[in-house]
Amino acid sequence: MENILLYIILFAPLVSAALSYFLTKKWAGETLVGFSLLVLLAAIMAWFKQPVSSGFELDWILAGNQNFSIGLYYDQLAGIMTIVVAIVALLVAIFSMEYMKHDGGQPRYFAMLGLFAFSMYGIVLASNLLLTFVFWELVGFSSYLLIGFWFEKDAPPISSFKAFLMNKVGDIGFLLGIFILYAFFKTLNIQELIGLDPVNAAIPNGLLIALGIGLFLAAVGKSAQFPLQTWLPDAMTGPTPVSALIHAATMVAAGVYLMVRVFPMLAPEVLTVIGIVGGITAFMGAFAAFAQNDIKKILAFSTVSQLGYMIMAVGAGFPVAAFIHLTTHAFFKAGLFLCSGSIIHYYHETNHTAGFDPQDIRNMGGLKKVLPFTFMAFTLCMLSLAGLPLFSGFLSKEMILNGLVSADHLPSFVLVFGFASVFMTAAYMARLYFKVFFNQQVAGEKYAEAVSVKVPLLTLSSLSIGFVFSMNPLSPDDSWLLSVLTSYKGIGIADHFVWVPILSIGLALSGLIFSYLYIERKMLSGLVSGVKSLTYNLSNRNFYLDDIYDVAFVSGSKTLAKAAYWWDQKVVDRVVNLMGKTQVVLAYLIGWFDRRIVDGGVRLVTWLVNFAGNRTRQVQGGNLQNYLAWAVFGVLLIFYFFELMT
Amino acid sequence: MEGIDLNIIAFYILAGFSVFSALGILFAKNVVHAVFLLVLVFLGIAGVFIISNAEFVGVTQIMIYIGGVLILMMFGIMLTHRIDGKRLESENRSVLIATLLGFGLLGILFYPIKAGFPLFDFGSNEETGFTVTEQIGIHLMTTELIALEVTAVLLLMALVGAAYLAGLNLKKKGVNDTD
Amino acid sequence: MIPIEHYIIFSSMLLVIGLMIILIKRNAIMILAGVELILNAANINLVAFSQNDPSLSGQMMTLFVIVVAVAESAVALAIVYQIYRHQGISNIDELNELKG
Repeated sequence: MENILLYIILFAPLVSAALSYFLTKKWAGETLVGFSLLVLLAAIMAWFKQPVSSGFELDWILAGNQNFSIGLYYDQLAGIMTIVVAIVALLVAIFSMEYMKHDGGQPRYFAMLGLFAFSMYGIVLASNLLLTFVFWELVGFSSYLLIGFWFEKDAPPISSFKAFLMNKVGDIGFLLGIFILYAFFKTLNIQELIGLDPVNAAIPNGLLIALGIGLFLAAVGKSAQFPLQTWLPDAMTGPTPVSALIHAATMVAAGVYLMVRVFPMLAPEVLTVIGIVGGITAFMGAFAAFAQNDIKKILAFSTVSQLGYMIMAVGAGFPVAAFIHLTTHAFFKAGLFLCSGSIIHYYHETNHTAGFDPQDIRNMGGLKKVLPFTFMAFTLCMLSLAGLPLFSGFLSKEMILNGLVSADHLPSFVLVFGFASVFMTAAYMARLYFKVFFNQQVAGEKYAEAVSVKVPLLTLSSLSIGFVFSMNPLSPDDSWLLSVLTSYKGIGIADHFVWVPILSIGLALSGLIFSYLYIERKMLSGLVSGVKSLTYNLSNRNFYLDDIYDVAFVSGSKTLAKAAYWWDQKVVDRVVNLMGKTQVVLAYLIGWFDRRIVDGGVRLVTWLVNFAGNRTRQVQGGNLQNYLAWAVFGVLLIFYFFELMT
Repeated sequence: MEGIDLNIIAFYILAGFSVFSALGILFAKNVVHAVFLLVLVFLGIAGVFIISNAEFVGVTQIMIYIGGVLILMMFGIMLTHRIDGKRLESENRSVLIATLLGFGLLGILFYPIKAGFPLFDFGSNEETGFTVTEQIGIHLMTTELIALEVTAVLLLMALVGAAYLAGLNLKKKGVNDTD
Repeated sequence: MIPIEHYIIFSSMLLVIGLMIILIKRNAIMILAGVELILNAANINLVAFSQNDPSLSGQMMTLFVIVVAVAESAVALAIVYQIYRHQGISNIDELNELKG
């Protein structure tokens, strides 16, 4: 059983889900925490014990000579990813115990979290694209369940439905990519495919591009890239720990993870498209985050923007940079989400005014004094997100920006978007930060966070510090992550440009200062209001993407649906009704036949039997004189036979 | 020759008398009439016995049947019918079937006669020197002694049983039986 | 000697009449009368054939038949009486309580 650790990682969350839903209802949270801890230990042990490039393959479907196999595969990429997912999942589980303590649906909640973790580990460990696709759909499904967790409210069911649909658009691309790959290479094993080198293989160029675009479409759906990113902000209607786990750290990163996995299969044209889409997403996400008032939506748009960075890095040809940014981003964004969860939880616990929105930052302020621990964690994570030196975000962001600069196949506006987003990221985070924590007008009593809130925040914020990832926090090239990823085929280190970190640090600092001046000092109001009047609606409505979709797809679909309804009503239904009437007439005929002919026959038979029975009953009727009559009759018969017949 | 003719004439008279009386029973409605007609039938049969060289049997027939059985039957009628001035009528059933069967049986019985009826001759019984009655007495005490004893026991049992049956009071056992 | 055929015809007629009485009449006592008629028909035959028999077995048998007939009618009448007392009926075909 050399793969026992992989089995534990994969199936422990599923077991936990089943246990917490069916057995340990009262202790569902503790069950999940215990199993998550087990998974984390298994993941760390696997890092040291499990040989690289190990795994196994099993036959799943044998259709003629077509063999579809499933299997698990373990390398450093998967190892780091499992550890990241395990850490975030464990902390989120701990946090959820406090956050959901008043909710009645706890068994369901923790079971869904377990199901999600199972599917996520499945994506990470799957050795071939078919199995990846299976778990891909499973994460989509569990995400759907968790977004719609409070299904009795108005918004969550619609949001979950939207997320599901948007993901489906991407999944179709994924499926098409899988079809093309299987058609040409007769295998879906990722390592075998990379060994076959699809980019240089004898495969039509159009199909190669279609294959790459298809796989990228999967990431567009799952990682909320332009133009499918609108589901992610709406997905914030789910519970906040869920947002931290699924919609910040793990599931949305699955798209990036897939891109990193299949990077050697992507044609250069596809990489250009990926880079452009990533740049647009990064910019749009950062821009849209400005005008939001919901704390979670700001973070959601920030996530979209950071995912755009990762995709940009993939497009630039540096998937390792994307992966490292994925890792660092998972920690500090999950930390930010958990901080927001702590804040929302605080308002839930203390403010019971009807109609009060605990997620609206206009209602917040002065929380520095109220939630000092959350404040500290938020500061660390925010600085990391802004990309300041000494923090983990700096390392990965520098790698990405260096990569962008050195990639000459991308249009220059992508680079501009990349740097602009650095400024904007710092600015909108600072806006959120100062509004929530410093505004003195609204303040309350000091509130002690629970231990199960503090532990995740502490862990995540300390994981946002640069020393964790690199001995020299100013130089991303020294990161130990780079050295362990040597076996990965798409490895590539961008040239180091001296002006890039200086420019990005400068932009980030100016963004922070800009927001500080505007929010805290009430300066620059003229400039801001001028810009605001032009762009506020654009930002607030996220470039009217939802409205465009409404016009383009929703109303079109509705018209189509109406036409289909008319067709159904007027044509199909009438045909069906006609058939129904014919059937009824036929049924009457058959019924008449049944009653008159068949039943009559049956009744005739019964009457005959009855008649015969009655006649024969008379013979045995107990009447002595009848007996005698029959006896005499018998004598007559015997005489007739013996005498007259001879 | 004269006696033989007389015997045959007497037989015809007695037999016809019996048959007509029997038919009377068949057609009689009244039970009491039927029983009296039965007396006539038995009388005729007894006469036939007597002219058939069986005087003892004929006398026994008269004594037992007419003196015993018929009295018994009269008692039976009186006990099983309410004597309230109404005529004791007996109803008929399935006359047609019975008639057909009867004539069929009669046909069977008459069928062999047309072929003649040869008899084995055992010899005359005049040679022993005893009268018929004496012979019967001798037989009863010698060859038929066991049969006589068994018959006596049977008769005793039958009479005891009849007395017991008639005296059995079933009503006392069943509480809810109607009177 | 009276021809034996005459006896047979005589006894056959009595037998058939007795049988028809048994079949036709509903009254129990009439049926008993029919039974006596049939027995007497048998007796006539016995007596007729014993005319040619020096050992007189037929007449002996006739005597026993008469005795048994007496016993039979005594028991039968007792039963009829008991049925009438118990069920209130004297017609044989109404006795159908045990009929299925």
